[in-house]
Amino acid sequence: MRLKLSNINIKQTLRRSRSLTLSLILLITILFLGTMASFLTDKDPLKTGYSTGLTPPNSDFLMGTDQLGRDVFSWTIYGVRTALFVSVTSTTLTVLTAVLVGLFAGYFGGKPDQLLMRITDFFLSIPRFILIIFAVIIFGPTLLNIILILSIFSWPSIARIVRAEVFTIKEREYIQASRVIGASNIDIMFNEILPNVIPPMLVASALQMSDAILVEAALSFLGLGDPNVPSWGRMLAIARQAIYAGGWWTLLYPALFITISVLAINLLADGLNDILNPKTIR
Amino acid sequence: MNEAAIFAEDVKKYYTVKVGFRKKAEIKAVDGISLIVREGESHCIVGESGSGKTTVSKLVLGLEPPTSGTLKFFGEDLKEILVDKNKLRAFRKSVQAVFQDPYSSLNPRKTIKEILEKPFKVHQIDYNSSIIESLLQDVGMVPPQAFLDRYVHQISGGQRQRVCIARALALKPKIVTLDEPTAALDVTIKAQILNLLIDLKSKYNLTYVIISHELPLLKGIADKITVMYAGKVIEQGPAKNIFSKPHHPYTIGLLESIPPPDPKTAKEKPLPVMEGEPPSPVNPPPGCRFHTRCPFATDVCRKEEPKLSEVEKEHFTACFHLRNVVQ
Ligand SMILES: Nc1ncnc2c1ncn2[C@@H]1O[C@H](COP(=O)(O)OP(=O)(O)O)[C@@H](O)[C@H]1O
Ligand SMILES: [Mg+2]
Repeated sequence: MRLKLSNINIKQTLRRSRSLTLSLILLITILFLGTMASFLTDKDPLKTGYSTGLTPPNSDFLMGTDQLGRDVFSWTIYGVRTALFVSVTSTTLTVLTAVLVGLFAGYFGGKPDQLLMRITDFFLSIPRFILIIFAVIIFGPTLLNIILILSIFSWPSIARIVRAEVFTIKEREYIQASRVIGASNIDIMFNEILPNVIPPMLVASALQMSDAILVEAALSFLGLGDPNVPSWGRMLAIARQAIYAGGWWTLLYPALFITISVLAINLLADGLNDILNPKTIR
Repeated sequence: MNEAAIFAEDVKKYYTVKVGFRKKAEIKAVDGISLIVREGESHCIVGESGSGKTTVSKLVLGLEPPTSGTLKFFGEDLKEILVDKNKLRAFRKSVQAVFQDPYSSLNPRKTIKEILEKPFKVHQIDYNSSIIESLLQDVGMVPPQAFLDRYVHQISGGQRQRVCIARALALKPKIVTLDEPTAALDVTIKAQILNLLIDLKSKYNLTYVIISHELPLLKGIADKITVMYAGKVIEQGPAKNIFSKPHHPYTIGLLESIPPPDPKTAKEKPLPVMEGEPPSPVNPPPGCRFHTRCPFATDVCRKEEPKLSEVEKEHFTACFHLRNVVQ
């Protein structure tokens, strides 16, 4: 199940794939801000009344405050944690489910496969974001619910990719060769097929991560985010009023962080594509 | 006399495929073949593409159960082997395969070392690096250390086929099926691989089932030959007889066919000297299946199906016009 990168020269790849280099720089910066948040600011992101009313950026408040006196800087860098936590956990759940389901359906075919196709058809025929909104309204906007709901509505499309991949791989002669040797189905699925499914999955996973960040931000913007954590989307909702009083900073910084993190992850997907497919390296 | 390594009697394999909505068709991939492979023999199965050779090898490997008929390995019925875990384990150890396409026979994500360790791991047999290295040595990959950590895309087509052969030998099998072992290789490499197979056969005491559509190539290696046409056996016998005195017009056509010069482009094309196409496996023609292409065909060929008859000792042919053809 290990992914073999041993035949890839990391230094050379970084030099050749600009997207990967840029993405790593951006990601490391964001991760640094998120993990070091408690050292970079002593202000509680959720606490109101640090200032009286909307305050533009100054030496005390690097990114200013909103109309309730919340510190935008600490909100934004603590927001990295929220965004990445939702993104990483929901993507992990999504991809694990998708890989398991896609692997079994693709390998065994028949009834389970038909069932999978029906389920995915259903999910794909209804706009996912609408479903997510309904589900969050019904089950309540906690971080855990948001993560679970995101995963539940996201795995089908990735499972389809896995299934299609498994369908072609299982016809290769090395799978027959494993069977002749006496390998079990589980052994074949996880040790022979899975390593070949991982490369295309890495790209899909990266895209899933950036998608999760956007969905979480959108939910929070609509007031359906977890109120107990600082979220970029919710600051954008706050900015909707502040912007009329000239509070551009409440809009700019969270929007910037959403854009940069989504961009960084998409570039990562692009870069992974470059590494995993040596032909595309220029 | 010892039990035959492989005993097949009237074995059939029909595939049901969907054609359009709710309609099904039956593909008669193998339509009643019998053969006996004795221990230590090289039994070659020849015929054009689509004649059912690969299906026979899948049946022999126990990858698919026959639709009907009897298949026995050293006297043991395949049906019983397939339902008994221990017997199946022993069977998987003693019957191995080399597949047609060395490019897709090896997992691109594995090193050669990992590929060769796999059989030992599956059967929980102790191994060490010298065992793996001696396998590579036996198939002519020297020095073995130079290949252990390479991936499939880092070695040539001939070397890949050697690795496939090494993997097949790892468990010290009794029977090895080779499905077009040289079809995907260059002409010079073909000869090397065939010679290697001849050497390994005596070194490892193997029984071979070799599948090919290039009959002339098999001269040096074949003991027995079964000629298949559209899922049926049309001629069968000792290789010597078949090469020196073929009886069936189809076999004669195959023998006259020269191995195509560029194997990559000419792979599995209809043979140049024989005109026409093999019949559809869904609706084979009545009577002799070869009559649509046979220069000797008469009314009887179009109506009745010829039975295999012994023309010489252990040499069988299914044709109504043996006398005309041989002269
Ligand atoms: N799994 C399968 N399902 C349906 N038809 C098959 C299958 N395998 C083989 N066939 C058909 O059976 C016939 C014989 O195929 P095959 O044994 O591969 O011939 P050969 O190896 O001599 O070229 C062909 O017409 C092929 O299309
Ligand atoms: Mg074939």
